[in-house]
Amino acid sequence: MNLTAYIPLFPLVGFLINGLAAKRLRFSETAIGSIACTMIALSFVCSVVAVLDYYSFAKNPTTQALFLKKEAALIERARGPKDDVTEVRSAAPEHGHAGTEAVATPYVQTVFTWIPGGGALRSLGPAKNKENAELTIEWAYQLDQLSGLYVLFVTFVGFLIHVFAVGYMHGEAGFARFFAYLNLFMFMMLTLVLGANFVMMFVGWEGVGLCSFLLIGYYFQKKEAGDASKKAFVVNRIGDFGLMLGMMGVFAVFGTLNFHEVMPMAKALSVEPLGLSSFSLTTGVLTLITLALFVGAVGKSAQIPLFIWLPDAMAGPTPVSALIHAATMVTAGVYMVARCNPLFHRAPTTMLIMALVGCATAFVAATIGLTQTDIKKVLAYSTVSQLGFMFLGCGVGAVTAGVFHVVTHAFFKAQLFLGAGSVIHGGSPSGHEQELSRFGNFRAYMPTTYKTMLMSLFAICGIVPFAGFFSKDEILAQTLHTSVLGGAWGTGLYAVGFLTAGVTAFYMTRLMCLTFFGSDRWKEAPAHHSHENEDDADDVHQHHGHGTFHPHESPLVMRLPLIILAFFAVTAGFFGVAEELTGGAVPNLIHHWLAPMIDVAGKPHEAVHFEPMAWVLGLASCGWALAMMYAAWHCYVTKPEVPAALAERFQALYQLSFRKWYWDELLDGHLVEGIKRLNQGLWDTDAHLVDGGVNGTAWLARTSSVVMSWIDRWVVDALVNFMAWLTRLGSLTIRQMQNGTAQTYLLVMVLGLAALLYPIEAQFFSGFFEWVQQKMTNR
Amino acid sequence: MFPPLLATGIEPAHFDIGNIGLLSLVVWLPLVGALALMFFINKEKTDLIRKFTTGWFALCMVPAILLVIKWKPDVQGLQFIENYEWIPMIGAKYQLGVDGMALVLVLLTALLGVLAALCSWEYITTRTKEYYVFLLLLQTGMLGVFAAADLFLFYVFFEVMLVPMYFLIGIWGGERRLYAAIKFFLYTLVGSVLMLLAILKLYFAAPGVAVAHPKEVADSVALLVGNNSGMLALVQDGIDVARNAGGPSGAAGTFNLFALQALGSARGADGLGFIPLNWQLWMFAGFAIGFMIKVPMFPFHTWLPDAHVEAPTAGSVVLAGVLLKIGTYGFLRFNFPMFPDAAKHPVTLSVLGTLAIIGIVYGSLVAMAQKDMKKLVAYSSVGHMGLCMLSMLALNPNGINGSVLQMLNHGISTGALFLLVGVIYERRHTRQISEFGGLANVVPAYATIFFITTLSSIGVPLLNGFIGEFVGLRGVLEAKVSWAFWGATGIILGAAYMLWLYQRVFFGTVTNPRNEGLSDLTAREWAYLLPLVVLMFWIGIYPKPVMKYIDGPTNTIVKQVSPGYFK
Repeated sequence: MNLTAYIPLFPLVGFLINGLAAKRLRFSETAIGSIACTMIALSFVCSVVAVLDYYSFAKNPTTQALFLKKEAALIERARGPKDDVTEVRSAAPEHGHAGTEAVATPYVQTVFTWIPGGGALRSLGPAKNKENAELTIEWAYQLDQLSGLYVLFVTFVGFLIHVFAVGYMHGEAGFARFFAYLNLFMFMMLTLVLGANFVMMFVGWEGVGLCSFLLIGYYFQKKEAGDASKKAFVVNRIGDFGLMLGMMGVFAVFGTLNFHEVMPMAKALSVEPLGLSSFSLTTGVLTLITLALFVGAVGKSAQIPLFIWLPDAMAGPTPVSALIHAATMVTAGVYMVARCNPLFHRAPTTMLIMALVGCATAFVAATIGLTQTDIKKVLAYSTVSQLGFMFLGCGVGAVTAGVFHVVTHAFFKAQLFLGAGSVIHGGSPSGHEQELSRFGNFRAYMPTTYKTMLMSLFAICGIVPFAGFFSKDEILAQTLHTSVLGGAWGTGLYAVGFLTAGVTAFYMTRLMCLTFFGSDRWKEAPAHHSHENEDDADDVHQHHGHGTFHPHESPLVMRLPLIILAFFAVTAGFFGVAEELTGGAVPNLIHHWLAPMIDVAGKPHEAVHFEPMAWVLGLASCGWALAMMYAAWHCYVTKPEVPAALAERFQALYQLSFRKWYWDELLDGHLVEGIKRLNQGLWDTDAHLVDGGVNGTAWLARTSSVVMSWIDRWVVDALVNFMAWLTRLGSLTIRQMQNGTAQTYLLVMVLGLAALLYPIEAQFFSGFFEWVQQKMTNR
Repeated sequence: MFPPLLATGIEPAHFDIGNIGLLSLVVWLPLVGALALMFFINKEKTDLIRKFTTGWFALCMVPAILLVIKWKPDVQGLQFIENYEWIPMIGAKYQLGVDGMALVLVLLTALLGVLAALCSWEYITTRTKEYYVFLLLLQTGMLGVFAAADLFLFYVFFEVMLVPMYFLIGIWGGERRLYAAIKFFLYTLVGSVLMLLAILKLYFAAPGVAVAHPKEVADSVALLVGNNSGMLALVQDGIDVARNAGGPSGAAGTFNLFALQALGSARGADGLGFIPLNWQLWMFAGFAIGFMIKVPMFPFHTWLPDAHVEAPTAGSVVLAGVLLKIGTYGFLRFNFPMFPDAAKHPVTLSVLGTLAIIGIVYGSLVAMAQKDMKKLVAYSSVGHMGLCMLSMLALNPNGINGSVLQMLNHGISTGALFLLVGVIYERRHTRQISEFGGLANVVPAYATIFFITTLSSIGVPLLNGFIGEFVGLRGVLEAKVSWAFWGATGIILGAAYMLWLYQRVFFGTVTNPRNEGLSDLTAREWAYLLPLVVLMFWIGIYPKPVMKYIDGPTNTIVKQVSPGYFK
């Protein structure tokens, strides 16, 4: 258990070694491959030890009692300071006798404080919840039943795919870069599932998206790889946008982002209404939050309307497709829903939307898979479709079944992708051929690949007793009996799901038939390998002349993972046999293991009884799948001319499927172009209108300066000049006096002096006159 | 090595040259370098000039780092306070001091200075000496803005800073350099004139509060300074000057920035400040327009792309890294604490919030349409700074913390992006995106650094951008859910334009023969890129040390604006 933090650490070390040192120190391919694989193997061993350790921890009655007490306290906290009469559903008495298994006992290992964000308030949810909180995000790992299950299969499948990749990528330029990225991906994926809070999950979430970008763009010289990687990242970012808002909403309601606190606290909240009334921040805050979270899942797990990136992502190397785009990363959405199921269960509107989206995606992707001609594209649409099933399961409340399907799917789909990789590797001179029409009759040349893929075929088609049967059937059965959404929805969804299961059987069998049966079509060698970079492959596969080339089986390092994965594709289902089928004689291990994680909003788990109906449903879908498999066999092996005729006859339907329901045209042609036009328009606005305003102001300033300078010259300055002119005019008159006659000057001087001396004169004269007057009076 | 810190609260009658405070050293050392360069180095010795300047910038980092070493983490508010008489007639003083927020920005400025000098080595070929003199002068101006604790002093630095930048763009810029330089200068000047009006009004209005409401002002001072006796003396000094306004000293009021904060945020029993709301709004607007131009916020942003495109690399780095931050810093330092009622006013919030959101969405969309790499990065700045503004408008600790972090992060990431664009421009003398393609084949190290910077810019976790974005947006959601929705669209749009840029420049095969012989990063380029990359990872993985500086000032601002936030 204490090894939890080491589980993601090893791949990180592998990434650092291969990423920083391998190229500089010129590691050999063997060294690089060994380092990468060893790190994952160590990680797997750690996972096993940690989970075993955790198992005894979780079973311990003292632990359980402790956690029950914690949970009760958290529920109390979520209810707010003083909740008047509503009785707290005290977890302890109800199923609190220690020893019951349905007690969540998350083991949290904190490494360091990552983001100390400062003070905060709980601002959403019931008004009484408004209280101070602290945004502190710990770098912490949480081991519990769900993450335990995930780390086990992620490291295990991851290890096998790493081993396969050593053979598959042999001779590629950038071998070290590839394995560095692959290890980085494992680190991110393990962070995603082990993260103890939403933000840690988000780190992994973005991280796997980033690695996906890097690995899809591994052949970055190819235009479509560059396009696909960018598309994947941007579309995923739309999802991340939702996830980001969702997790902030969670904080606003609960005041924490730690799973082990949020999930018990959610139990204090009541189930929100189903319907439009839940789209409000007052009555449906959980609905809005879970919808935002679900947007994240839609992006990451390639659901409608964001599924378009996943088929394009097949531009990456095949092991990448197997690991990232089938087994692990794309199922992160399901993981998140399962992780937050206490929130989702309280938002039935979200559940309904999720079920509808999942079901529609399953159906649409399956129909597209019918006509695709690229082996990896078929598998990609198959993945999209299977992910749809998983969300259908989660949406109808069968979270366990959804997660179980994730696990079985990881085995058989990884196997199918690796098998396809083996076919691509050995099926053409270039080693990069992916068109189904260039394969044929390969079962004679690659028997191991053929046999192992056959196992997975049965698994994905849902044939008893292969793995897919148990997981897919449980989803379908639970859809029919859903208690979350109500009867009519359940029946409708079941019908579509059932139909889709048949379509799945058909297109998967088609893929197998076109690859392994029929004539040796590969001999009709194509003149072009336009979409593959042959140069890279030249040094690996010497150019066989078309006459001498024969498809060949892959080396042991690639065959071994195929065999092991096929083994689990056959047997993994036995871990989760629905108890309705056997009346509990075979325990549903997955169900019991995950039970502590699942909260169904107050509805207690009911004891399961033997249900004959379960057998009827199971056998019906099994029979339906077999029938469709036979139909495909008939179309593609017995009478190969039928498909073309059918395509001709139902041209519209064929085009709908072949052109992916016109989804790419809609998005690339209209949406993306529209956005580009918008950008250009805004840029023109910015350059002309907004900046025009600024330049206009400047123009105004300059113009007014011209006007002002005119005024200055012709009014202000003119006035000055006018004054000068006036002066000159005056001077002209006065000049007349300057005639050079000394007498005149003298006269002026005397007059002037007289004027100047007026005060003195005045005094003098007044004295003089006074004196004269006196004289006169005296006389 | 350095003289002991000056005692504060005692007012020396004159400026004692022999006893220079550490913060003064940080601020004025670049100027000393500029003078030395001007008078003692021959302008023909270009090699010596650039080595000297780079070395001097590095030397200037020493006191800046000493600030960190001598920092007392449990003291609230300003540290390294200096307080001298300057212009007693008007009450303006030479007062310096930094709190955690300013310290972080001072450090960023000091670091970017070194990088700016280092990245100019090859780029600048004419009038080298003047160039580096201006770069050093600019540095003093910027550091002074963050270190000033006196509004008048702040204003002087704020204006002085424009001049070297004007010449940097106008002399060493691209083709339309004169247009860009004049636009930059005039635009900023218009803003600062409005700000000056607001400053004067505040200067005359504040003393009345000090006289009429001593008790409430004392509370407000206590909230501001906490346990910091040095700061208490500084603020009290300012309050006393205000109280004795019109007295024998002759000053009509105080310019002490924090005394003005205390006076502005003092509240009566009704919970409102003492300056009437309509005056608060006018003054808020005066400051806000000045800073909005600086940030820049839509629709005052159009000087930015022109200035960036025409400026030499170093100019762009400093412009994006530091000058824009002065706008957001100004909001936090002046607008919010001095006019809290105006800041909380619904009209203010909706106007600024809407403009910030327009900045985010519009800036990102316009960035997508750009054909010039540098212009694209410039418009991305509009978007990022929009988010920075939106975060701080949340007016809660998460929002403001996020905003300050975002300032720092934007300085690091966008600074690095401009440096990277400069690297390729020096090789190809073009920045047109269409000229490139497939560069990852030719210059793998450059491609890697560019990629990491791209990720940092679009906010991928474990790199710096994410922390600021997440914390800030979380605060925004607490304040207003719809804002968070719009703010978060930047997550998608940012990824779209940056990755598209990356794809067009680096992916595919080399189609343009002129790109075939490109050389990868040189040692000098590594030297100025690596520190930023290290910072990106550091802040992304372990932001706690940075947060530690920011959190205190942030909480003070929140308490000043909404006293009831922390119950």
